[in-house]
Amino acid sequence: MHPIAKALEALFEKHSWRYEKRDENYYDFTFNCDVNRFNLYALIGTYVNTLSIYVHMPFQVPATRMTEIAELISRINYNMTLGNYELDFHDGEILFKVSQSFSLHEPHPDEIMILLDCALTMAQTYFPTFGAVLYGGRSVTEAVQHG
Amino acid sequence: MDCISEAIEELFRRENWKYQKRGERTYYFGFRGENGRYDFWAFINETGSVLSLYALLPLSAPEKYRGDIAEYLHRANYDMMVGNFEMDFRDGEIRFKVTTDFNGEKPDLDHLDRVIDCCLVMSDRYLTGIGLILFRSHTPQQAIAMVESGGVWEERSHIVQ
Repeated sequence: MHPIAKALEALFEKHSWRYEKRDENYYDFTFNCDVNRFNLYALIGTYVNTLSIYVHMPFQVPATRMTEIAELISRINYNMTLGNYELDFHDGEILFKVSQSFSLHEPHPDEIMILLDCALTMAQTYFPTFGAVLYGGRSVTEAVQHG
Repeated sequence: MDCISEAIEELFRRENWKYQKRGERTYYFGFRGENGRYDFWAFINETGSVLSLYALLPLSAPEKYRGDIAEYLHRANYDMMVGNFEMDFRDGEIRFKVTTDFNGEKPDLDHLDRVIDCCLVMSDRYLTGIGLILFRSHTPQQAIAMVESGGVWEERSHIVQ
């Protein structure tokens, strides 16, 4: 088992968090947060020894609003220290992604917890911002200012 | 294998849809509608005659909105011919459920397809109203009025995985 996978599974087991292992380097899991339930997945890049954690934001951007949401994401991402939002122009899916490369030793579960914490915090922080634009009638600049 | 599982697997092969089998009588899959992406769970009962299909909505109800969302879902459910919305008050999870008793017979694949479609169409249609309550401060009545005045909904949605 890859050292990152070992550390990831150790973290899940420490907290009794459920997960699905889709294959050796791909894990699915879900967190219920105050604002919403979030589906996440973790991908291990074995060649470059990286862990990427993705959060599926529970919104789908219609084709007619892609440019608007792309601008929103650009504004949110600007000055973001760790991680970034991504928009799939093919299907309107919004993801938050945070990645970290590790040296060849097995990372400590706490190092992974930092990434997971970042992913969930950012997803919860900007969840209302996306909602305000997609459903709430706010402009991108208004939503970012008030978010 | 029970005949409902057989039919599910045959339908998915026919349509080239992906799924995961989680346990003997439980299937997990996902579909995208116009407004969101939905996790689906299909449960078959022990006698293999009843299929319960659940579509989990991507938005859930934070605690302070659960009363309003509950009212909205009640209004949505009223007069709904097939299926109903449910909300888990413990965590705000919202889902649409359709249960069909096939009486021990193998379901017709097109019938099964329509059941899945119904779940997807209803979830996708009423998801917008939840967004309006959460993010635009609509009342449940306003949200239902917006959603249900939206034209002919019986048209089949384009099922995309």
